[in-house]
Amino acid sequence: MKNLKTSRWTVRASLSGVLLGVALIAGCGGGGGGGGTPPPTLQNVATVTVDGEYNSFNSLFVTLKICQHGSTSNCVTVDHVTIDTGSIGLRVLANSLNSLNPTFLTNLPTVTETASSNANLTGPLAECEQFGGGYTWGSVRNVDITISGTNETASNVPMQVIGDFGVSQPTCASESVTGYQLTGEDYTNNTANPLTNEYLGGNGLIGVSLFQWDCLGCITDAQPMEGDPATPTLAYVVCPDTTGNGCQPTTAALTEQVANPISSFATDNNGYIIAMDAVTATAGSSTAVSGTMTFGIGTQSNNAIGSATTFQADPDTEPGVINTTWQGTVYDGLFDTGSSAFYFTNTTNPTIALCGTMAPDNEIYCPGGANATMNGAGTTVNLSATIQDYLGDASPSSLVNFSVTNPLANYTNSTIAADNIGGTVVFNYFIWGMPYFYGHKLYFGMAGINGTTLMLTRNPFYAF
Amino acid sequence: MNKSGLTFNLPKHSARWLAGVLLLAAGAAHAELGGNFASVQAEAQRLNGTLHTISTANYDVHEIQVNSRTVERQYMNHSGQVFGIAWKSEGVADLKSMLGRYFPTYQGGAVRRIDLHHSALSSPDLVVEVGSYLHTFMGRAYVPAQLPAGAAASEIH
Repeated sequence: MKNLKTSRWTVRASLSGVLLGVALIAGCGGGGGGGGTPPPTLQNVATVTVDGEYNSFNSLFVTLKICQHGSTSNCVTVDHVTIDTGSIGLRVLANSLNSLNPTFLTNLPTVTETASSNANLTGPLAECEQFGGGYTWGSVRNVDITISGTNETASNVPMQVIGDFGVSQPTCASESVTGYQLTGEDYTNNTANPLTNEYLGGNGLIGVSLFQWDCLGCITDAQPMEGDPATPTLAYVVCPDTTGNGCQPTTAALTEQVANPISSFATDNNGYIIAMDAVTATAGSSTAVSGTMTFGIGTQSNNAIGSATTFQADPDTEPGVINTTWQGTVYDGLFDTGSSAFYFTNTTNPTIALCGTMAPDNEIYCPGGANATMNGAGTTVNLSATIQDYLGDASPSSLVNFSVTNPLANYTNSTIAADNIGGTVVFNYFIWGMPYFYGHKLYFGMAGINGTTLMLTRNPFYAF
Repeated sequence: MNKSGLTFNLPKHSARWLAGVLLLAAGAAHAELGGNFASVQAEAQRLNGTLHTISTANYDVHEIQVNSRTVERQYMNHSGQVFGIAWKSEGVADLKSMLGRYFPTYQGGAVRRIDLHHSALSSPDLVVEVGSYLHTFMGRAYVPAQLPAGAAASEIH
């Protein structure tokens, strides 16, 4: 039996004995060439894992080697970077970087606005990025990012360092839905949790959405107007120094923006495939679940789309949804490794009860009721929803089966991965979160955007 | 691709809302949780949106459709009080405006991160759930004590 209030998918509790610097990734792909034969080219497969590190639940991790752009010596290998298909760009905790290599950040230049790039203020560039779970704040620095176990490198890509310009930014906090960074809040005294991996649930996150950039408006507007009615939104700021004080909103060229690193690979840059081992037990897995992330689609002999069915995603609005029909209603569907559950609205099935009335229990489904016993009647329900492309018409459709179990009854405190947890969702979305990925192979076809004309050159899609 | 000029304006879903269309041009205050029909009308004007109303046995749903990316639904009981709001928006939603008198409760409460993209506050007085994917924000808020008899919280979405 599991107590949701202390469970892994809620805000990270403190965890001692954290091991830093454990490289997870073994080399994959082609073997060593010899005898004068050309080097193998199939080094495009990374091993990924859901291992529960940093008290995480259903978090998909990869290891990266991050180097100062152009340097082979000022580098750091960062394990446990969360793969997030629902955001864009690499963001790593300063605290983790400093722990892994105390001189890395010291020697890593920050992108700097100069008199020619910014008429009003010169100094280091920083970013405020909003997530549903909080915001991230910190400097922007150019790095070369190599996915461990592969020879895929994104060269000269801006990343965000979380927490090197002070622990917060007032305007960013005021626009945040939580008022706190992604590491959350200490509820006993209403203060920010430390910006450390045990509170983030990893050393950073790598956003690999279907899109390359997330602020085209920032090219021309220091605080791009978003939404209707249009509202100015803080994104990039320029600061007089590295204290985080006195910063002002600024424009940011695409080359300065924290972008999806995959788009900057020399090859294999048009998408990727995530394939995870299955989780079979109703109680989930208490040991690591492995998978692969294969880069490129149709670029190598190991990433052909084959007989998979393609579903075009909405090219017009990030994050690029596909239609999901569930309980007779069409919802915006999204495949997101950064969401730890299936999130959907339940309007017709009374057996899918909520786990309680208070957060987080009232956000999570408990089939059979909150007081059900382990493997009791009705504690696991088999469900299905239909996926179509974003237009929902004249397209192939696919019925996807999934199940939702009662985590209070059926999980244990050592459950670190599960394919059967569901939660309530807000508005009309159906989120195919991390539970979907176990036992599945999903292609992410990334949109192509011309960086000069900003016109779409390749439609985003999912395929499975 | 917000802000990109890649607006195709393709029809996305068939209309799900049946009742008459009412274009509004009145009001001053923001619509908010705990508000009334006048505040709903004011919100429709603030958003420059189209107000549709659908009545159910237990409450009325006032939907303000701005465009395909920005929609707000206000759930009003038969006493004329807004007990729930659901929304999605391009860009950060104006929580202060939508939560109204309940905003201080939200601000002062323990808003729990559920995962990277979801957080929630729940208390006996107020439930607020929010999510975000890139520049799309979505959320719902309701006052549990004011749910009409026979209505379930899951109906606010």
